[in-house]
Amino acid sequence: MNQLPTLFGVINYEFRMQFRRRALWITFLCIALLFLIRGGIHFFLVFALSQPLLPLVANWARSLNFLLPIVAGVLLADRLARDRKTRVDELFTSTPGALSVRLAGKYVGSTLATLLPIFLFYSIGVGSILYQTHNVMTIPYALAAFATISLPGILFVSAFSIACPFLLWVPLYQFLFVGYWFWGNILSPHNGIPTLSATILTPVGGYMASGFFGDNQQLIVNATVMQGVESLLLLLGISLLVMVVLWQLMKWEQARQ
Amino acid sequence: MFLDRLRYELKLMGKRVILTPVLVMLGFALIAIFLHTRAEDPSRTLSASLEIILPLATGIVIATITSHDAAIELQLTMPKKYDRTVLRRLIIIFGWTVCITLLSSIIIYALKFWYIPLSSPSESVTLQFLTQVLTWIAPLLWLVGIGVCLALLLRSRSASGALIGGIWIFEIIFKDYIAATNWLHPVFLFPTTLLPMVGTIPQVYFNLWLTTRFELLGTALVFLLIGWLLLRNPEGLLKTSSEE
Repeated sequence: MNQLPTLFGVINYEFRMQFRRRALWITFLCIALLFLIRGGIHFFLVFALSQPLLPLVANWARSLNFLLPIVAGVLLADRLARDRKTRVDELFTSTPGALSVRLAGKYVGSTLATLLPIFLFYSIGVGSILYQTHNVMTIPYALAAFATISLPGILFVSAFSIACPFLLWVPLYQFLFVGYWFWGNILSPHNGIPTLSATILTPVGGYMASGFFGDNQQLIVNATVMQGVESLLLLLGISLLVMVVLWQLMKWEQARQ
Repeated sequence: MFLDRLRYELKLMGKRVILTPVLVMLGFALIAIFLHTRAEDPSRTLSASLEIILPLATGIVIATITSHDAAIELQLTMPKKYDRTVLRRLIIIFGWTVCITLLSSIIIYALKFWYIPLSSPSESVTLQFLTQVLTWIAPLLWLVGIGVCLALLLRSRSASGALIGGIWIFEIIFKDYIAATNWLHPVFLFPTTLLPMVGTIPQVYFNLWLTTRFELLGTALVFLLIGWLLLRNPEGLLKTSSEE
């Protein structure tokens, strides 16, 4: 059976289910208010406007990456658990759509819907940079920064948030995820506690920001382009691996029933 | 009767609610041992576990428990008001977390790993201990209060968890900004570990620290009051499941 229509159908419905959640938009709006508290109408850009355009745009993308993936990760954590709660998972098993296709559709659809408010918020900052610098190159730079700094981090977080609640209680995962975000992205490696901060496995995107865009006002300084590529590929590779492991686990569970 | 209800509530919420704070503290005890073996001082990490980590875990668990009950329709038909049932659950979770944190505080104090501000070097043991309790009770109650309010206002467990996480990280990243902005002091969650305010500090700073702790407790009580008022709206509670 051709699974492509099933894939597009699942992506479509998962996207719409997530996109239409009022909670998604309200939560991102509240986080935007937190940014406003810190930086006024310029958001985080109060730090950065004196920089050249390329690192400035990267700085904006990286700054958002400190807070917004937390919201995305926690909001995506209930997607798989919801199927169990509403008892539709058994119904899905009886349909001709393959489990792998349904999982891929869930991952792509719900992640795309969660990316939308993030991209909107990012675009407001980009608009502000464009207004203040009067440089039209802001737009292509911003798109490149979003694709290489923000997107890999969100894809990484989404994969874990969809997969881990298969084994963990959702609030426990949410707590562990927020704690991980601090430990693995913000905690300084000089603190004594071993941490993933400053390694290429940081979804906050420091290596891409420094290696591709020369943004060195952060934990990672003077990274090479190669290190940026390594970090990006590692994040994408692990995301894929996590989804494959989830697929195998669910297949194993189904076989046991 | 009271003990029976307590037992049933615990059974309904599950062992995971009881185990979460215990496991968090055990995890941090292991980290402290690891740091100690590497000749690093674990005081700040242990302080972080009490002041920063446990309140986050409790806030997220409370937000989940408050807004969701599998038999909410049935609960609302009972003569016993549902807000009292939720209040009882909150007291159980909060009380249990306080017990675990208090026990951990005593152990940390006994092992001389305490990490607290002092107004004078000769402060009495009782005052030192009360200061230590104040370092974690204020953020704990605040995150419980905001957890209840967000869960009932947003009618979504995930959204309230996401916002609690967002606020938590915001407080950590922008600690210096919050410390320098007077109007944000009533919501300054973790000054002791993050600034840090430890050992004998000038009286003016100690007073500032003390004021922010009481202001935080005040705002927490306001959130709890709002949460209790929201709990008395049955229609809102019924809508929660449709927002998930």
